[in-house]
Amino acid sequence: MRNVDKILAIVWKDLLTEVRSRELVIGMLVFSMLTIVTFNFAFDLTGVERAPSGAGALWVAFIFASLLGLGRAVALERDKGSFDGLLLVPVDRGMIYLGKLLGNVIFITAVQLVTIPVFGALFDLPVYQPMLFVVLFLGTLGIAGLGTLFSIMAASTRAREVMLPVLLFPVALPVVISTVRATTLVLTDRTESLMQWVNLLAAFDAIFLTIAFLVFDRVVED
Amino acid sequence: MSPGGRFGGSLTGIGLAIGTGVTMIVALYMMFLYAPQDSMQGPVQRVFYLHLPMAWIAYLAFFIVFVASIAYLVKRNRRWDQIARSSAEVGLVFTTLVIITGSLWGRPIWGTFWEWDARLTTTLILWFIYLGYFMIRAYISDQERAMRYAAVVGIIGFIDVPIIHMSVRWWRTLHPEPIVTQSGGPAMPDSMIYTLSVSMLAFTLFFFYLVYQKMLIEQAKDELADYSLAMADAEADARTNQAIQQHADEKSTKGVTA
Amino acid sequence: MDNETYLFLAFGISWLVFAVYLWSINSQAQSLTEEVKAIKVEEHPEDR
Repeated sequence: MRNVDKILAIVWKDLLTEVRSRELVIGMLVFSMLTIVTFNFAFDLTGVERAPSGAGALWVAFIFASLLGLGRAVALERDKGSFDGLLLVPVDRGMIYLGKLLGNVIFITAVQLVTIPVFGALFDLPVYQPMLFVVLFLGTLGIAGLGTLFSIMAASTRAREVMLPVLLFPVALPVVISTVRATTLVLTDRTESLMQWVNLLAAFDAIFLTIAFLVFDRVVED
Repeated sequence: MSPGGRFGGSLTGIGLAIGTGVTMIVALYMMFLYAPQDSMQGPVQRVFYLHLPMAWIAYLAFFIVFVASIAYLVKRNRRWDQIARSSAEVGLVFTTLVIITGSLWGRPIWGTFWEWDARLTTTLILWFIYLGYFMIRAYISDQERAMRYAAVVGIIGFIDVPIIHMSVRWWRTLHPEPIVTQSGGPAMPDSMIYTLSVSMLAFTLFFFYLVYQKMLIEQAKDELADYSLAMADAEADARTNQAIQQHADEKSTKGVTA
Repeated sequence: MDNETYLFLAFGISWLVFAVYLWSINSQAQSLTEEVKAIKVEEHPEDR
């Protein structure tokens, strides 16, 4: 089997499990929608200045939904013991990381694809722009890249639910800053400095994914 | 077999303690009596002689955590983790003080305790990352796993520092710039530079003294844990043997009566 | 509060934290030494 096939096999397994049990995506989706609705009351999202707050609200919703999904995914696997089974498969541990990462990216993207039109309609913001989806993908990749690693680490602590955000939030701050900025720029149609942020975001993703890929082997070794 | 526990008595410890004491007294004298009063900022400028060396130590501490964490993951020698956790703890204390002294300087000079500028934000996030470093240690029961996970946090946390700094600076430049009065300017009188250098030296020695002491403690703790584990094992073995013996005795007495 | 107060506050807090930290390191070392001593006595009571 080529490496790509190994990764895809892991992704396929996760997708099948999710399609059968539907334990992750629905919960994440409802959560992210509710966050956006709640934010409407926390900030004024109807004025002229709604794009920056809207971008912030959107990412807060996605990040919290991701936390929920990442934590739940690992907890489910631990409970069923399927993660231990996965580790017994004679595959390079890096491939397991990439498979898990890709699965998480797909779940979060699915949530985003439903949330975005609703968000656009509720706050009357121009969300149907190709660049927005580039930014969404890069931001999701960064969050999921660190989140996949940290969620597995947090799962073997006594305070799983607390440890994941405590580890993820400070480390992922650069990704959060650049995605929120880039999203704001897209929504306000100020494209001149947008590419700067997109490049920066891509660079952050590359750095974080590389480190996570390298240390993953040490995290799951038992 | 019995655990060690050599505190204070070593030459390194005494040497570092004396070195720290002497340089710290000289540094304090220079800070308050030798260095001239800053004409712009007034007396509060002297916080700088405390703040800057502590900031340098904080970053040095986390650099040591970074190197020791890599070494631990490669070599799997507990000694490296002892270095990392000692350095991280002292680093966290220094980082806390950097933030506090910085805010106390900022209040009269900037007019506010906090500015969301790159350096301040980075230091604050660094503080949170190393808080996470200790939390993950505390929440994992298996010692070996705790060391491994902490090492991962130590490595990622340190690499993250320049990245956070850069992203916050970019974010700032594209935001309305706050009016931040830069301190002093480049033209610092020589006497201020001398004071700063001595203070740097004093705090560096102090840092190594603290890390050294903390390392001896961590070493002794690990050895004690090993010892009590070995004792528990031995006790369990003894109990098993006793049970087997008893069983055998019962059998033989039964055999006799039969 | 004036300028000088902040200076003394900064120095005061720093030295207070250092003092507390040194004290905590010292008491940790003390209790560990005692524990080690207790074990030594238990293992070799004749050395007392």
